[in-house]
Amino acid sequence: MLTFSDVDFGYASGNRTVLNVARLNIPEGQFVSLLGASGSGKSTLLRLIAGLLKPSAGVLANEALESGVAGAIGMVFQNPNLVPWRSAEGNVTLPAELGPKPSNISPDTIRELFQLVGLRPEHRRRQATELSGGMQMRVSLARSLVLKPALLLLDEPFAALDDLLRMQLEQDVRDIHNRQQLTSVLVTHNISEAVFMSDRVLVLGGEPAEIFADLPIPLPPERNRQLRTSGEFHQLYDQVTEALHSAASPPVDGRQHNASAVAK
Amino acid sequence: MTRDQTAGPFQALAAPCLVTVMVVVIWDLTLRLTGVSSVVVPAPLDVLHAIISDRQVLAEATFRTALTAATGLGGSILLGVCAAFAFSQSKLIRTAFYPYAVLLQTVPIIAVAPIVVVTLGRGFHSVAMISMIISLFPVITSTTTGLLQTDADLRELFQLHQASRWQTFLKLQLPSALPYLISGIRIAGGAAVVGAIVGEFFVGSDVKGLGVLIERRKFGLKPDQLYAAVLMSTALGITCFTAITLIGEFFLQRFYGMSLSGTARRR
Repeated sequence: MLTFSDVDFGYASGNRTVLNVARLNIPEGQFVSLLGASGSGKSTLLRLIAGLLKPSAGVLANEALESGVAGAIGMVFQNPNLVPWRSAEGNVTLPAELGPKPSNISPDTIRELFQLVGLRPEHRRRQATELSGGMQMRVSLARSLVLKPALLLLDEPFAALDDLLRMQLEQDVRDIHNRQQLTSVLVTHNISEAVFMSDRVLVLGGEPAEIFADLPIPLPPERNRQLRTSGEFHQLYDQVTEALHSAASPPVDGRQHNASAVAK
Repeated sequence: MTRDQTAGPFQALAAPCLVTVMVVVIWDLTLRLTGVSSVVVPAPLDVLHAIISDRQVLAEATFRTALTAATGLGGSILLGVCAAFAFSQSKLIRTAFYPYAVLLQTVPIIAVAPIVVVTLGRGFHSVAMISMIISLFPVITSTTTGLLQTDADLRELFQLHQASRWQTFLKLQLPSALPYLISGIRIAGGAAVVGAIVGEFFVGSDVKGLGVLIERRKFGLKPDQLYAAVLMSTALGITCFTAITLIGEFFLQRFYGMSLSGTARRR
């Protein structure tokens, strides 16, 4: 579904490459997390996938983008970024009003969507500014799903939330991913979040940034609270932590990655 | 929150009223103590008496000036938003045309007014044009700033959904810029009144506004009537500013949950 071949990216203002992805395949239905220190290129990689940035070199094949279907990609940002002059419902239906062929969203679809993301029907008419941080994030999630995307991109969506709400939303998003058979890419700084939500974790690091480690997360698709206390979860957590440490301080010949961890 | 920020509407109204009372008392006392002739500076009560006895003429002149200022302000909002839209679309357009927008602010209106009157002729439209010229710059500069400060993530969201330039302007940039636009209109409102009065000075008796009244009365022997006309001009400016502020506050509270001072509504 998503294929990178020798993709380089550098900003027009500078001559140097800031991100290099030699080879990466993300198959349909997979939940992938991009993990790494600040400035390791996670958000840049996500924006390349979204088509918001164009590669300087190489080939990036994205079926969702190339399908030309409006709303084939949904995106949730670090802040809910709701438009304050619209109601919760107005924010959710906003993507349908954009693009070359604006469409209407039926009340039934909106009702289902609100239920899916854990919002009550009475929240529909509330002004965006009247909603709590958690509710705003749920509205933002509903907005990203309104056009039934094939690909869901999440750019550190839970970074500003308290732990309890964060854990609840992590589980909710993973459930939605399973139910809607989405392909999802999450950018996060949080190791626990990456392990809990993903089927696969990509650790980024180096300069220029590249995929330092590609770690499968062989946990069952259905995730629940008990999973966080299991030995398997902790083992995977330790493995990802180790890869993250290595990515942050690579060996002198830094481009020689741990062979067992590199992209499959 | 500081104590100052908690000032309620009563305090907001009472404080300036108290200042007015103090100024009037000091004005009156100064005249009594110094013995300045009422032909030079009239007493506050004389001015009040002039306002009451002259109310019909003052009301008509104030209405005409208000109408001209409102027309000028309307024109500056329309033209200012269009110019700001163009400025927000391209850096090249901004670089090329912004200096000319600044000219509107820097060229003295007293120099421009005769040119407008010679070009457009004497009448309402000339005065409205002068009012528009003087009030245009604050609208352009505030709205352009607002249009350029749209949230980066929301711009990406619109880009992701292939929003057209027009969709982005109408559904994102313009509503985002509303607080800036209102701030600009607040400043432009006062300027529009000044522009209308200055315009009336030049156009003369063809329009019967406050400017004409002030011009006629400046050499008369009844300074209380001159002061009455000046006070009505000030009152018109304050009314204009207050009306725009209240309308702006209503829209911001209704659609943004915030006030013009930037205070967010509590959840």
